[in-house]
Amino acid sequence: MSDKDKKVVIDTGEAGKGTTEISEGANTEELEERALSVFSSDRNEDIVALVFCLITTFLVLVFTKWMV
Amino acid sequence: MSQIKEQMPTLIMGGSLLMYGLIAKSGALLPMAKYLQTHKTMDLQVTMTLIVGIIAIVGALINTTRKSGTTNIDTFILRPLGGIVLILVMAMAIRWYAEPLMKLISKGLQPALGFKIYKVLNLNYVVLGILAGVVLTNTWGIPKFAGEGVKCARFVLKMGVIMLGARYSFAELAKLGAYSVILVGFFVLGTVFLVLWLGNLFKQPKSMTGVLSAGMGVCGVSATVAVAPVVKAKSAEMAYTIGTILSFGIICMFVFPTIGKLAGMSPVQFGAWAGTGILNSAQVAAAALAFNAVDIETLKVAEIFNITRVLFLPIIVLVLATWFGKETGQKLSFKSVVIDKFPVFIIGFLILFFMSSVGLFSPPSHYKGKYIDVSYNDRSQVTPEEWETLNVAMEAGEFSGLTPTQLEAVTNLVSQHQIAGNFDDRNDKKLFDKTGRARMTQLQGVLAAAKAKQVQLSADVKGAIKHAVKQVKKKSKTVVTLTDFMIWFFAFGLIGLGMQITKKAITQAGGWPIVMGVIAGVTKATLSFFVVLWLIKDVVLN
Amino acid sequence: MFNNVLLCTQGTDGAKKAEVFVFEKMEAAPKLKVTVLTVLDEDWREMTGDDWLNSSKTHTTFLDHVENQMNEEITEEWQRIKTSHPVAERATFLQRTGNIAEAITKTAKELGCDLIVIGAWQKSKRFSIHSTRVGLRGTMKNKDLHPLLPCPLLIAP
Repeated sequence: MSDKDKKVVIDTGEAGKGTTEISEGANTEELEERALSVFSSDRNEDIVALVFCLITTFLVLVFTKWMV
Repeated sequence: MSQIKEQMPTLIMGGSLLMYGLIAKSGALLPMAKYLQTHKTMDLQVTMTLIVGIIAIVGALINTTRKSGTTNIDTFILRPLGGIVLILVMAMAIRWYAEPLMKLISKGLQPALGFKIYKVLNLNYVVLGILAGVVLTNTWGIPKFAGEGVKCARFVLKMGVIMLGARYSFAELAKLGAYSVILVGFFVLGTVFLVLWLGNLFKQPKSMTGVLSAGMGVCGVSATVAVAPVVKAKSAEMAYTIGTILSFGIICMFVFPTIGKLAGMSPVQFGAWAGTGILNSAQVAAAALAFNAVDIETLKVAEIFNITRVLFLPIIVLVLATWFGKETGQKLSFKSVVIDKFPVFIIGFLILFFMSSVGLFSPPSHYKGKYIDVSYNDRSQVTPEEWETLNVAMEAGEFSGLTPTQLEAVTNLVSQHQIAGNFDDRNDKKLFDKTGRARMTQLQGVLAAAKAKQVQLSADVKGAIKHAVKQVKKKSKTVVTLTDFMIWFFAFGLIGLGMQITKKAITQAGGWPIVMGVIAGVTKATLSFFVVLWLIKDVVLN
Repeated sequence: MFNNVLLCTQGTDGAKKAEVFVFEKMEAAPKLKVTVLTVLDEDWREMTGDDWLNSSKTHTTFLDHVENQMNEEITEEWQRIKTSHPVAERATFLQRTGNIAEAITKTAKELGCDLIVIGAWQKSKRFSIHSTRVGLRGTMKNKDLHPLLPCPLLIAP
């Protein structure tokens, strides 16, 4: 088994559904960067986005409907 | 020391915002804002700049004294802060200064050029925002302090899509959903097969036609990225394909709104066309907002098409995986592709949609947050000048061509200065309302008759009646505020995404993909243009 | 005159001329040490453009695929060099990932090279539908490369 065929298991978090296998020889740190997100997983991102939206909606309702 | 240096840009931005907010609060900027026609946003400008400025300064100060850690506050607030503030500053500068200036300049140039630049190129804040993002990345690059914050763009755009859910009614969603499934289904599959057929015709490798067909068919770069590993695309094929799709998409973003306006498309038609013909989903939103940035009708339609395409993507991945055969060695099950990849934010969109459907944001009697209020109100009155115009026209007998009921409505408008019921009925709300609404309908009839040249009315008179009708059509404050939030989210997200488009990626376009891509892309855009015009005639959104 | 040469190639026409140049010299000078360097351009990361729909997992899968694919193609590229220049069997082959100018100069420094050889600038064949190449198109800018140079740079005509 050459170096290239060796696989490394990486934990990709909840959204990635566990793990992904990549070749050990690959220069992973250099090409891989979580593009476009500060969240550890997409499910987290989506849920936080939803919660933020609900909070915004609630505040808008408070100030424009219920308190007026 | 290095920490202070790193935080300098954020501190400076925060300080400037604070200064701006205080100056604006003092009213010193009002003359300039009036010149730019942005004086109505002055309150918002003050609040927003002060809040963002204070957050920026406090955050930057915390960052200078505190060692960066790995807590949630670090990851989500402190580290991305610089970038978030940068994008916000760009968004505010564009909305309050660049866009109004662009309008003034093109108005000034109109006599020389014969047309208004901003109208032809649709240079509103959305397009300007994306352009600003693209220009920044390709000239100075994304500043180091902003790197983390720019990554929030996708998150904020998702929030925009979720908030948009609040603006649909059941009927709209059902009708638009049906249209989008028909159109997207037909054109996605059509384009995929067209490209595969072209690839066969030109004897191109399967891997190349595979990535290209997904990219041209479903949602541009997103589909290419998802399909490339499945069909084992070669590096040059991916580079050519992505370059082609990015350049094609950017051209579409400018060309589509212009063609749509020239062809006199309705917001619904344009939204459907953009949602079918434009490849990248961010560019669909951008083109929809470019076509109509004030009202969000177009965006609403386009986003439904976008969501339909997102749901089609996994299916296409499965189809292409099957077509490519077992050479991939990758096992793709329905569950792993469709269920695991289901975007959760679409559920958020549906939640907001249901909240809106049960009448949380505006009572069911309101149509999409708009309602008619004919009760006595200073804000419902026409201006004194308009009243004078109407009065003079009345005495001059200009309204002689009207039907008796129409004439009664006009006469009443002149006597009451606004559209309303009878003063004597003011205690019987139902009757009062009914009379008022009937008068409004009559006045709309007058305007329609004038438009059809059945009666002759001067422009001033028409303007006054139009204003009177507009004055009683009130908008629910809740819905207006929610929409404002949504628009800011979209602007933020699109500026951030603009920063992801690099010159190097665009200039990769070439080779066979550009030939087949242009054939497929232009065919799809042209065909969908005619199909949309033919299929979507009725104005669903009233 | 030079003992340790770093040959940078990406399989373009210009680079092929550089290969011919270096391996001719190598045949004439048996002691000449040659390292063939191919750089995997880090700008692949930016090729996902304004895609915001895909999950991070899909992005990772894509970049993994790019890397594996590039590794494969680079190995093929080296095989081609070895076949067309038998003397290349004596050379060392090396692959790096990163910014091209930085990767070249860093490698040259590490290996203690006294000469870097690159191909001359070639007219772009973008619209030639038969163009074949490995990886991303993009010329390395002199203003990026020159300030970093640890040793002389030779451009093979």
